[in-house]
Amino acid sequence: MNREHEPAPIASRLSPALDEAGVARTWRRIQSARAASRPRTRLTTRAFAGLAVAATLALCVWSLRETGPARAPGALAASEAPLAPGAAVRAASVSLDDGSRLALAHATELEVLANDGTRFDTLLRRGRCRFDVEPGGPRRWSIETDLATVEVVGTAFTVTRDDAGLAVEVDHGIVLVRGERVPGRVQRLLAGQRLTVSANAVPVAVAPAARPEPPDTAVPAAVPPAPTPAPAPAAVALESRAATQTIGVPRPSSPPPSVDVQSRLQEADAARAAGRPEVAAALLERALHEGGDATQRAIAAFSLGRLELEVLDRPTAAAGHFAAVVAHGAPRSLVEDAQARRVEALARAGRHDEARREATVYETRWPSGRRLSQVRAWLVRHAP
Amino acid sequence: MALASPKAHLRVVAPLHAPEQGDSDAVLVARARAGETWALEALYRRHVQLVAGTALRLLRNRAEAEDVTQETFLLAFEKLDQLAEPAAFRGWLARIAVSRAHRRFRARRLRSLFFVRDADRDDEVGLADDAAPGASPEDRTELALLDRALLRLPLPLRTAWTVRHVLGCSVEETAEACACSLATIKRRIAAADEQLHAHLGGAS
Repeated sequence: MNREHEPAPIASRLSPALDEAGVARTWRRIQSARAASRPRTRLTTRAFAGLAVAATLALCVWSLRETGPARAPGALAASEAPLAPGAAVRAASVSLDDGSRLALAHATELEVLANDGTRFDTLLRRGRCRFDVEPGGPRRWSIETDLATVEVVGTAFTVTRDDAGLAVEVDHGIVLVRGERVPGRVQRLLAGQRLTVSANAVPVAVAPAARPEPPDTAVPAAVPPAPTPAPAPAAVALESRAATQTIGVPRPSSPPPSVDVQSRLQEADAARAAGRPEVAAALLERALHEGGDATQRAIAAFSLGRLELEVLDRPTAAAGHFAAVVAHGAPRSLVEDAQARRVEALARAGRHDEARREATVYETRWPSGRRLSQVRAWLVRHAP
Repeated sequence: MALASPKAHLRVVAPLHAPEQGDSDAVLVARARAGETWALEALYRRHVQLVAGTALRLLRNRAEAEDVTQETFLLAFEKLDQLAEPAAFRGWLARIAVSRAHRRFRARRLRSLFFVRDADRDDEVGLADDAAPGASPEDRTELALLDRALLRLPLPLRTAWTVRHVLGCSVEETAEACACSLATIKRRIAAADEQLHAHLGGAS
């Protein structure tokens, strides 16, 4: 490409093809188009593909109309509270867009773990929450506590986690309660039944179950922090409120070893709540290596990242765990949070170039991301 | 540090990555492939005048040229991973621009078959219309003559000569832009030179 001794091109005698305003305008259009259509294909290809997809969908809907809907709507939303994974629900009453409702007692700590078209998982750290789940929905609802997990598809029930332990009371519908301290590790509760899982080694006396008062923010429940689960066996009582008949099964003398990721997450949460973050970190590390599905591993990695960053002040380690969340193929919202927190971790660790690169990755993937302003603020706050 | 306003932080990321003057196309392409958006913008700003100029000189219409510029960069950024030689980004980009401009020519021809007249053909921009401020009347006249002569060339010759002599691309880049071999492009440029010479009466 020898350009020596060449006359200046004619363009040098012309005005620029695009003035500065045109350059800026075209760049904005390029950015908008890139954000709006990815991947971009030829118009005709898209048109034919669109027609084909529409025809296929119409056929599927038609053929499935007798067998029930296979609709997979997106994440639940509520105007009263953020419902992204990791968000703490603080509002006293939350109406979800599928018609379900949550009612939280005063001082209740409820956190969203996962929220997508197939599941809505929350963590009840302490307090009482009534769940009124719209029946027939496509999501599996799951309420995690440090003592057990409550699963439901469509019903109304109340979960209370206090000093004494855990109480699950079903108003109508059916729920499943799983956990190491639950007889047979799982119990099916029908309407009118109540299950209590004690946090202590001392068995709970079987008594007529008083119906818990509905959560009322005007009356403080004065719920103390959740205690660390005792390693010794706990008592379990499963009662019928109508007949006060115990239908529970005596728990085994020693619980089977907990190996599933879900249990590890619960144990880690309990350890963190008990002020033992190092133990919680170790449990989460084990959870990461004990299998489970990709989402569970991603939640474990994300929890570990937050613990390292916020409690243990180890931003470098945190950055690695947030990177792992992305690698585990987590739900989109969790990946977005992880990418954002990775920027914070790297910035706090003094790895500013990497932080900026990750910020660019975030901005590219989520141009209107809900963490965008935070990401930029972290870059500025921790700038050298 | 508190945020002053959302707008104040709209571009915090990009300025932190402002490219150095010495960043070659190859470096910028590598960074863009790694997901660094500032590199895309740097590539855009570096080559936008070449792309817009190619489109404008071939299509002679500002609105269409702007559209082609947008399409060219969109396509280039989308297919960036397919670029075998990052250092040849400029020629590759020119090739996309020429290709997109030629698509417009084909569309024009199709419309003319159905007697659909392009309304924006009234806004034709010739070389003389774009003469730099302060250009002498002689310069403008010369540009107008050249413009008229160029219009009489077959499209392949006009494209080759425009990319080479109006936009100032190297012979290699011109060959890449016109998607032909060096020998072919040299032949086309020579043929265009000869025909222009004839049209201008040996005064070019």
